[in-house]
Amino acid sequence: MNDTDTQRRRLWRTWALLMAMTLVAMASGALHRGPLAPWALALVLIASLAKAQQILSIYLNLRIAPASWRGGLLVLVGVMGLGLTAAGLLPRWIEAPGASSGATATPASIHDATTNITTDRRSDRRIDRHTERHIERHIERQAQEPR
Amino acid sequence: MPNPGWGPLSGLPGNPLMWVLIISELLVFAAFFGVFAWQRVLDPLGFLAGQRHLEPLLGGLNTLVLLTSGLAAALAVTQSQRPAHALRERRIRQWLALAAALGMAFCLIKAVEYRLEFFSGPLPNSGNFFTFYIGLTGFHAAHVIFGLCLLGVAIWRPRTDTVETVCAFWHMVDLIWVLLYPLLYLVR
Repeated sequence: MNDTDTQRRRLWRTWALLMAMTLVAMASGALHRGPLAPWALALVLIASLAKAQQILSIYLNLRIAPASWRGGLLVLVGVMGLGLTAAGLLPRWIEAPGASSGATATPASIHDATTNITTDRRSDRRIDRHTERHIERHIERQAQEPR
Repeated sequence: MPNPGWGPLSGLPGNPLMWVLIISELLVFAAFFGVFAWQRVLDPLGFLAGQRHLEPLLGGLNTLVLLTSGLAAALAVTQSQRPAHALRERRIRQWLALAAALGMAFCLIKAVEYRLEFFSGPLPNSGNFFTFYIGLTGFHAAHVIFGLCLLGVAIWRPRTDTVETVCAFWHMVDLIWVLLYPLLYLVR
């Protein structure tokens, strides 16, 4: 078997892996319509960053590039991953100063609602009603404001 | 060394100037990701309401389409690195044409998604979410369209260095979508 055949097989394997990871991320996201459970969020983040790494190494063929370029581009993608992780985690941890949604709809309430969802396995697949009410009130309030 | 004479850029596959563009684009998107995270902290429920209005299935389908298009582009590169024979150019063109067709399918699915999201009912007032959504997906779609034009050039003149350069750009478009999809649709 020559190098080209090996390379082609590697590409097909990577493609299968990328498809599988995308389906895992889609399923994790589809299980909850409200805030994601921590395990689902972790799964989405890990699958997304692993996919980005595979694209860099195999599709973009950075395996043949010097280690400094490989490392540098991985760091750059890591910075984007950091933004992605921050978007998922920070709203659960930080109390937003002057959040437009008012005093009853703080990030802490989202965190509480998420915790409720994950600790009760029976309600794992349905939308948390507490969060649902908050969102609907928020949408109604904003719809009444002049655009 | 794929590009002797280009100094530190000489070890990268394809034209080194394309890598300057790729790194610049990744930096721009990284900055947008940071601003998105910051705005989300300021209005978590507004962003959640916006995300719930999206079509995650179509977003996921688009990820599958774009990753398959990336595979076709990578196979075109592999084909272009083989020794010259009668069918080589034809096969490169076939793989590139498949990559371009899937890129067009991505644009079509995105257009259907925009229609479902923006023209089939009232839009929730979700603060800045839809500004980011339109801005990021629109900017990415502009890259897809530019990538399609480049793929057209590579189909026309399938030289090894042209194919490598064009496909490097196409994989960058792929890479950004792989991170943009969870940011906009899944992470909440």
